[in-house]
Amino acid sequence: MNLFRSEQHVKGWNEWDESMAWTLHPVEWWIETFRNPLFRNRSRPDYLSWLTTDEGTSATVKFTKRIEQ
Amino acid sequence: MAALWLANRGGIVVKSELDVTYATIMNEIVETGIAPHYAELAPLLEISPEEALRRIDQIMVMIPGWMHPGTNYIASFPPFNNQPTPYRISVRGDQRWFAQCGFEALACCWMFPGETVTIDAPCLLGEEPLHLEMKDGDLLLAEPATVVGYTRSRLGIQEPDQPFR
Repeated sequence: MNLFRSEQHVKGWNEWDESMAWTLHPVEWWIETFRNPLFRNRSRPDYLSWLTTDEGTSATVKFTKRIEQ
Repeated sequence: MAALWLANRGGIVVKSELDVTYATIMNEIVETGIAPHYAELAPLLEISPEEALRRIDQIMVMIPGWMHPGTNYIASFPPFNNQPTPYRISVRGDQRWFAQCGFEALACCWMFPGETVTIDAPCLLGEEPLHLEMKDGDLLLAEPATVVGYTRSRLGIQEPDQPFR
């Protein structure tokens, strides 16, 4: 799970795996992905409990769907 | 698991022991850059070291973090990493934190609301490094502007070599 200078760079990486090419996105796409409440809410004093609420479950589902696009 | 969730006692909401433990560990990392050893965590929570370790082990099942293999040391507590990674995180010019990975580096800003969070990382191909600045989830600066994210590992999967990815 790395950041690269450009698409050209990542495709020149010795560990580039074409079967995982679907994970290649501009950094802005990954920033939007990590705006999910799963990440925003980590400073909540009740974070672990929150994860089990409907809101937390919904955030998990939304995150999973996004990275499986 | 039910006993771990919030309980309402006489109208007073009591946070679960794991919530308090998680928040204490996270606060320590945000303040110091270092995850506490379980024996350091114990007095903060006024519990025994054994109980602190038990709680850490339970929390690690609930989050994508991990202990260093074969030890009782917290290696990763996302978005941060206790073990240094290429993703250096700075706030107010103080490089005190490491992100778990390139993606979690993008989530570190949520732990420092209102602050500009800087991400510095080397180029894995040996060229010029990467530099990003973020604030409250917004990208303020990306050098170069062409930065991309990519993983050769499956996201969200507990792989045997996860601590070393």
